[in-house]
Amino acid sequence: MFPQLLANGLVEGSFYALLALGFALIFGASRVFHVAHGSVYAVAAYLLYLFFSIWRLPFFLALLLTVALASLLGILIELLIYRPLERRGASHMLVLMASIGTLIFIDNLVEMIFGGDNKIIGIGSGLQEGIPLGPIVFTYLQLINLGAAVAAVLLLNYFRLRTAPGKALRAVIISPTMARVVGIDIGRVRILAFGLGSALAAVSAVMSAVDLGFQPGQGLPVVLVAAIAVLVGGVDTFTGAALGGLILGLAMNLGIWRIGPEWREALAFGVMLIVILAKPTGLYGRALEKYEV
Amino acid sequence: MMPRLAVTALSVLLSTAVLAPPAPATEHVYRIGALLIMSGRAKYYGEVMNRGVQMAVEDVNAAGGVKGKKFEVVIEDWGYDTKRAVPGFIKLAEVDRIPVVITGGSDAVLAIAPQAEKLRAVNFNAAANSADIRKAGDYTFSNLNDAVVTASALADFVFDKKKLRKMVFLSENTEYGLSNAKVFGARFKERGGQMLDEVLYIQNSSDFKSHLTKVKASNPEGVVLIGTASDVGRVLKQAKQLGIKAQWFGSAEGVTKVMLDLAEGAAEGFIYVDNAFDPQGGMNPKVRALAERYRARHNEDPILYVATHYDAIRLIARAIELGGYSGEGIKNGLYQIRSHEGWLGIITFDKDGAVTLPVLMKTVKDGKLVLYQE
Repeated sequence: MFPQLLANGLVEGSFYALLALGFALIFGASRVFHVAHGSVYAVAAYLLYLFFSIWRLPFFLALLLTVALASLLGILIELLIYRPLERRGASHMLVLMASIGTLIFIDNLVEMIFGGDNKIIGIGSGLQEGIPLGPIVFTYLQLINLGAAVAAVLLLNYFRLRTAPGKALRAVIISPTMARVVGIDIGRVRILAFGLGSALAAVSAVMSAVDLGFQPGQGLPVVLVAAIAVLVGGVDTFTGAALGGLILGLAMNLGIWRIGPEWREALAFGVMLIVILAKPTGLYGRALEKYEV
Repeated sequence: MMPRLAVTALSVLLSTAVLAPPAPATEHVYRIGALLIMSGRAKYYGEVMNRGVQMAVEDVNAAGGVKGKKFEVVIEDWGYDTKRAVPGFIKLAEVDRIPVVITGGSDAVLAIAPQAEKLRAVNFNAAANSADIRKAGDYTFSNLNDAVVTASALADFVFDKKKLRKMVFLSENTEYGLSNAKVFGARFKERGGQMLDEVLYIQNSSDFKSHLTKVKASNPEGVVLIGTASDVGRVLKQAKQLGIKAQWFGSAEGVTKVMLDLAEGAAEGFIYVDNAFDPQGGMNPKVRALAERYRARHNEDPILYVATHYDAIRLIARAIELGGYSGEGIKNGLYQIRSHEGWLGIITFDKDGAVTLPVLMKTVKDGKLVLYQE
């Protein structure tokens, strides 16, 4: 059982790592607890369904359109909801409530348009067949998802370390005040963060939708896990966020080796509590400025 | 100033609309409550249940109603969330003053039962099968077999006909799942079988691989899977991916077109226990006519819940004839019913407000739901 649980944990962890990275990008650049990230995730699944299953576009075209539109949605939330509120001096709490309201509104809108039933993306049964590899079974799709997650993390790492926009993003995450002093346009960096972070959410959504199907209301549980992963890994480090996601995936799967699987979700919160009590900045996080909520 | 005034005025208007007293029950109709799943992942159940309700209401009203009054159904959506079911029932029974509400979902029916006693409104279960429902109170009735009947029958079938001795039980972590697990496990062990493990999942999950890994590790000969159709479909698909070779069993509540679609072929050979319900209508010409009428209207075969909800309305109509249109009257009327010929068979409520009806084993063969044959 242990090898299979480990394999399951790696696959699930890679999914959470992507989600956590997107959430961390946005939180780092804007200091907004972007609960509406869950609605971007949920919308992405339905966009893929619309383009691929209903309009019958080729899969990769449908995927590109999905990621692009999900990015746009994330940017629109920043421009139309958060930025106007912050300009008017709204507190962090008010922005958080607006984010929750946006999530609920978009979730319900999606359900009104597409219905409340479960949907699947019929990508072909061949990709979903199990491949026995010794004591472990993967599906082709899981292996592809694992590869996609690794590729996304590597690309993002290259972007933030080797490109000017990526370096600007890092600067804002480390210290918005100093970034402003040296002439970095915080507004544009935030848009970049929301766009990139939402794209990562879309990729996670596609991975999950193709493998497991989807239904309305899945955004909130997913964004909570992403937030936990960021808190566990460290709110201001990409490596931390990705590793936080991986640790959660492993914990939620390996944990059931000894306890009932119905406690999986509780395990995630348990890991979070243990880590933040021991090290409030997360496993790899540095000390942050104090925030008021 | 003006926008603030407008917001205040709008708030007052909305509050008035929300808090306004309900319209009084009209004098010329009998209003029947129905707590159905009209949104969310299990919406399909609510749609088919409503079809059964509406068909029966048409028939009752076409015959002139009951005591000269026609039926009108008032629906509340509980979205398969128990936290919404109880307020929904209270709204129908107390605010709308409706003396009988058709309900379903084991957790919901059991949560509603104390309110039914308190408000003296009948809690008519037409969809849940927890074994505890028969002890839930005097105002709670069920018109389909509960787990005491179905899970025991399944255990006997697995032991006697399939000759399996090592089983795992995989179910949702709700009253529905737990009740079936308890009855099946007790009966199977009593017969001499071995329950290797009981694995629970939170309903509405998407990823069951960790649960299925545990199931696979037990190396069972068979697995009993109890859950809603969307969960059952996903579990079967993921079980096939993981290479679990055991024979899968379940209960009719989790077997619908939605389950077959989500399983994507992995449900082939799934064996399940059902009330003796034949989607084609069986040998009874009246029931065949009902099935054909449903098929003509909705272009699909009726499922069990169409029949139970159809029967629910007809039984309530009979109860009103016998006891009058009040909670206590309908309750007393239901207890007086003897050998009512329903879609599901001949119905008489016992002292617990429960019924015992014949059961059948069915299976998925070539993507269709058919009677199980050796």
